[in-house]
Amino acid sequence: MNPYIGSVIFIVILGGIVFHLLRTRKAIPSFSIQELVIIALFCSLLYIAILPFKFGLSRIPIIQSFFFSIPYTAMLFIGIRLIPRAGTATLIICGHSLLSQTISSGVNPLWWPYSLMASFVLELYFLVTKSYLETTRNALGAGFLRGLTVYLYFYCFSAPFIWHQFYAPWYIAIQTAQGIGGSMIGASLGMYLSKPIISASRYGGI
Amino acid sequence: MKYLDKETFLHRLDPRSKIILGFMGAILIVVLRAPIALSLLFLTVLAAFGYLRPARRTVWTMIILMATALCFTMISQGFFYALEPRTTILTILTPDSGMLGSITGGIALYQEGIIYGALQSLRLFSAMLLSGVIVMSTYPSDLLLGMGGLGVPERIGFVVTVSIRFLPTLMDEAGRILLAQKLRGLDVKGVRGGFRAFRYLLPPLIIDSLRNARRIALAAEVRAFTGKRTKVRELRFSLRDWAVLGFSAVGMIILILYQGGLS
Repeated sequence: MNPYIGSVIFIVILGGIVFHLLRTRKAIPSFSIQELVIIALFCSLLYIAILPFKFGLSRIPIIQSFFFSIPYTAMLFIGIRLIPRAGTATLIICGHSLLSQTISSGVNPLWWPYSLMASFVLELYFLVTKSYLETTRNALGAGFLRGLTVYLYFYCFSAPFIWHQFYAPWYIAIQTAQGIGGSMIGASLGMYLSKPIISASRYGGI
Repeated sequence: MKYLDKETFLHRLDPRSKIILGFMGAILIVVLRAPIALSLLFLTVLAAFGYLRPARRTVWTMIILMATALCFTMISQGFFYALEPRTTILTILTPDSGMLGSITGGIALYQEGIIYGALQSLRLFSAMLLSGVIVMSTYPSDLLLGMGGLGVPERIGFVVTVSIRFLPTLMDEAGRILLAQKLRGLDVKGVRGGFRAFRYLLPPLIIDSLRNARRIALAAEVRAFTGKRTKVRELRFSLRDWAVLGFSAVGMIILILYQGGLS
């Protein structure tokens, strides 16, 4: 990629992250303790849900993006559906990232922009659509956007500029398409599984 | 990777110093280009890793992870290497071999790409080992305290602390529910079985955990807990921390400035 285009992308990403941080910092204090504990629960659930995929299917090259995206998106979207408000996506994604870095993979600041980017895109989507996964269409759109940005960010920015690695355009297209497909399947799975959970949460006397 | 309960020099460093060292390492991983500079960074982090004397199992896990990363990077960079000159060792698809060839522009394995991949793996290894050194030498709660000290909001720290507490309970609960579902005839073998298990495990697991979460939140709220925690241990920067940070900063600047001379 042209270094000039790369730096423009970098500035846009950084600006977005800063804007996002400022917005979330305002939103964080308004979360009740109960909501924070539920978010913490989803950080742990996310960690557990992707464990079998982390060490199993996602190790297989070429198809890993697809298998990894499904449980991740499903779990994330169930959490967002349970606490539908600004900041939930950021807290779950960043909380999960910090959790796995603290207890297993190790603290690595190079992965922090990745989590911020993933949450920034979702928050922006919810802000624009004014809907927190209320309909399947909205969830599919969020899944599509998540898959598109997360994988494009990795292959077009993180890989060449941080890890100094080359990837052919056709390979990036395959991985991104799989990420989008996996995220959209995960989104519909999340919508499907969240229905009994939300019913139980609202009317089941939990 | 787990915390090692030892009394080493690295253990005695303030968690904030270790996080800042992590940032310095991250900058070097991104900025360094010369093979010798990258090797120097890798050897320094490897020395720190060895100094902590991790268990044999941890070392083996690291070796397996690094070998896998090395293989994948060498293969991927062997195929995707884009710089010139490049020597073709194996051609899988030529650009003029049908539709696939024209879409991909041809797929070939390049000798320079394999070497490049091996060199670039040093970045991955340095990142992996550095992350490991921080986790092995810092107790998780101290790490969160250090992040708080560096500006991570307290409520995010609270979320991470509570999620660490949730993990063992959730693992137990998941195992129990899965066993119950298997006794009812659920087949969890294979990829389809894995997804089926995911589907039948999640709702009961989440509903049960939500009940637990609400109990915890209620217990915290009746004690007027607002998310701010009083600290049992106050973090203090000692002369040791300043010395290590100063020494590392100088080393980092020298390595960045003079890496051209090392290539």
